[in-house]
Amino acid sequence: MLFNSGSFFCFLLLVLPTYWLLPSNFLRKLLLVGGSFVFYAWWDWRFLGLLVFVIFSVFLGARLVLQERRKGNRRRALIYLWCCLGVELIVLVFFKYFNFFEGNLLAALQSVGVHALASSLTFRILLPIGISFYTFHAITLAVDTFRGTVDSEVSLLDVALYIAFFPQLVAGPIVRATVFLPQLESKRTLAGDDLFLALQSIGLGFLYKVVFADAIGPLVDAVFQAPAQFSGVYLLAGALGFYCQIYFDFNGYSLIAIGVSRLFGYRLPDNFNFPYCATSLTNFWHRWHISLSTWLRDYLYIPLGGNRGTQLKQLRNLMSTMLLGGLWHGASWNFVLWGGVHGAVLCIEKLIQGRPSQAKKENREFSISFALAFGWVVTQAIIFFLWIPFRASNFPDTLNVVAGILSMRPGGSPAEHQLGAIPWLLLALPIVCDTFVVRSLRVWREKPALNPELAFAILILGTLAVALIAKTGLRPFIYFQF
Amino acid sequence: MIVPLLGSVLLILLAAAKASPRLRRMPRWYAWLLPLVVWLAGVNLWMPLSKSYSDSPAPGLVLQAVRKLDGQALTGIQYIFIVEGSSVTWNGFDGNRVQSLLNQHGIPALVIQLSAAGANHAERFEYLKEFVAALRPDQIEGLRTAKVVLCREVELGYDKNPVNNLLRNGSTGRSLRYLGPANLPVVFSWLALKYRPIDWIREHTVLAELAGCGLFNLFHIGYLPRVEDLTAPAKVEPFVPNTTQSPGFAPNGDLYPPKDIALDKKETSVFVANLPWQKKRDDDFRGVFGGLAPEQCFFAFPSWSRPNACYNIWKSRQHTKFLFFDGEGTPLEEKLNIPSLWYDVLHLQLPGAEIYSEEFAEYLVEKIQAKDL
Repeated sequence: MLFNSGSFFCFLLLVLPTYWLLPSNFLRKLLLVGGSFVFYAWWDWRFLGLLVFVIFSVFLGARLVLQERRKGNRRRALIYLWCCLGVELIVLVFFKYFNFFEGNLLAALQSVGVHALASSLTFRILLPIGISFYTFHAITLAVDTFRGTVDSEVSLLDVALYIAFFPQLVAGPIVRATVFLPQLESKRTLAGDDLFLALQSIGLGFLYKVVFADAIGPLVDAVFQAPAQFSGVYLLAGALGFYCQIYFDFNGYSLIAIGVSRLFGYRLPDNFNFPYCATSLTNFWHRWHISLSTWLRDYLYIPLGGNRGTQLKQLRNLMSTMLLGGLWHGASWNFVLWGGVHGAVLCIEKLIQGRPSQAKKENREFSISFALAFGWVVTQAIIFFLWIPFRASNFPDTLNVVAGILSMRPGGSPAEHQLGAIPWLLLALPIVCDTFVVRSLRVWREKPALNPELAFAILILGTLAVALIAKTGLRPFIYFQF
Repeated sequence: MIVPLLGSVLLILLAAAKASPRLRRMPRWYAWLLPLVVWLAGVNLWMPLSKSYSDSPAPGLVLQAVRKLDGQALTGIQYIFIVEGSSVTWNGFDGNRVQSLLNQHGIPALVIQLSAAGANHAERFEYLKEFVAALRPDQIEGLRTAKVVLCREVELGYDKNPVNNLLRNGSTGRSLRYLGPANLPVVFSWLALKYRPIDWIREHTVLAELAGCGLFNLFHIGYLPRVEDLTAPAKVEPFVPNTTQSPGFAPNGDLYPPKDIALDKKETSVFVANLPWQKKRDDDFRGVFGGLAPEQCFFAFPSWSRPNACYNIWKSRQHTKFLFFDGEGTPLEEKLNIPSLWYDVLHLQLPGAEIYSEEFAEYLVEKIQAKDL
């Protein structure tokens, strides 16, 4: 069930009023768990069993870890933790990476001439939607219980709601157990400002998704489907289109998820903070998919050693984290490349930042503005080029797009004529507006506040106007595939 | 152009909105209800939906129909036949041929055809509405001076379900064009007469699709980009004959001769169950023409399918008050009893369509000469 579908609208129309009419917190949570299962089963009911298995396994694992930790038996708690993590990781690896490993194994077998075995091995595993997100939630709960940040027995109902809460079930944001579980303890309330912020978030989310991202989508799809048929200008437009599309699409999803959660009284963390303002890649990762980058930091980078040890070890930790982060997005060498180059640039930035030059310190006033502008240009160029392997179907297509842009390959093919003129205004105006104007509005703290009724009326009319200019036809969210 | 410009303005507007700290309380009811009502009234009054769905056969069909009434075409015309139907008519009824045969018999007549493959009754209702809405005052006057006959296709599949094939074209411009707020009450009134209580649960997919299309149109989702991309509609042909045969078509025996069929009680009970909504549909179809009050003439095609043939004969017995052409009493069945004239069990190929059209024209001539029409 997509947020931008009529069925989700009907689903919400049914669940939301029922939720607020129910008298007890228990019944409300029960409704949300049931509703979340329906939401998930709408896509493919067969994988509901997998979701339930993950819920049960982490409930049991976290219980055992907590019991042993309370007894002071840290070693046994650690064993239970690893068993629990093992189960979740096996689920994730099997469903998400089986096809990838199998494909590479078959290619390796075929390259050494073992064709008969290769042909007898092939079978495909269907990727359950949202698996990367709900297994990460499960891992979070188990680890936090071991660390002691979750220090009480969590009921099965609460675990189920934490893992399966429908707004964040299929594409995040990845919510910490320490943030979500305390919200389950008491009956939620909905104040006027909650409703206002929820509607604002939903309105903006839909604007990002169904107006901007979906309008750019056809251009991006056409260019990346057959890049060899397009000239450098069209490839540049296609790559720029994806640079904008992925931001609007994923941020749109996140904002709708945050807004819908807030309608039920639950607060989810922000997932984006104007990432295309970033003046370094380090800064970019503090602004892009924040819930994932902080998760990787806290549950992978720090346990690997983090900033402890020699610089070489720190760089190794950083590189490993980014490679795994890349692979988390999808089972493909393109994602490994994407994560690897991000990791390499982050390592370079870490090395540079570690040795500030004396001259830079002395000319601070001048150099800061110059460095920021230079840093912004370089950072955005790196991000722009790294979105190409993220979107391209394979490595040859990636090379084709990059080479076509850099050489400004001439064009005029029938595919270009079919696609028509490049919508430069669509590619430039919304992203510039968002990155500079909206950001300025966000940081403007003394912004005049409107009368509540007027503020609401503007919000309602603005959201309705979004519907008027929406791109029709259901396009799934890009991050659903991860 | 409109999407990036208006979208950016909305982006700033939505992001800039900030409520005062007094918003701890819930906003008063009018803060959300009033803008909603004003908005819905505004868009539904000022933004006609029919204009924004170019990927429907409706505008092209209406265009060719209205063009037929253009110029001096109406001068001296005594009969105007408006033929509506689905793919069986689209493939099997040549309106121009019928018109020229009527003219050859000295009957000044015009045949206007509004048929399309896959068009269910709800869609055909929309075609008629759009056709009438597109007529100029002089054309309406021309229709008043002539005798208007609404020729209605009878076909079992479509007569069992007013929104037949909806899911095949669900959420496309084609379905959305006829499932706007103006038509949905009519469609639901047909369904209310058709569905038993259990059917409202059984048919939840169709009902959800209808509700979804209704909401989509009520809020005019995507209206502006669609209108911006709109190109002038091209003429759509209402008669497109088949020139090949379906590979799966291999009939056993003869074409079902309706008069020889003994009607099964179980079969007819299904037909009877559909009468209430069909009666309402017939009234609604005639209502489209307002004061013109056209006469109705029903027509059915012979078939290689027994249920269809049963339905046709049963239906001919129901329509004793109206004209009903199914070839009975004519050599039609004999002439069409050749598989090579057919595309499949229901749809004719071009030579078959010509035979059917000629027999239909003969039938009309006979009725006109006998003053039955």
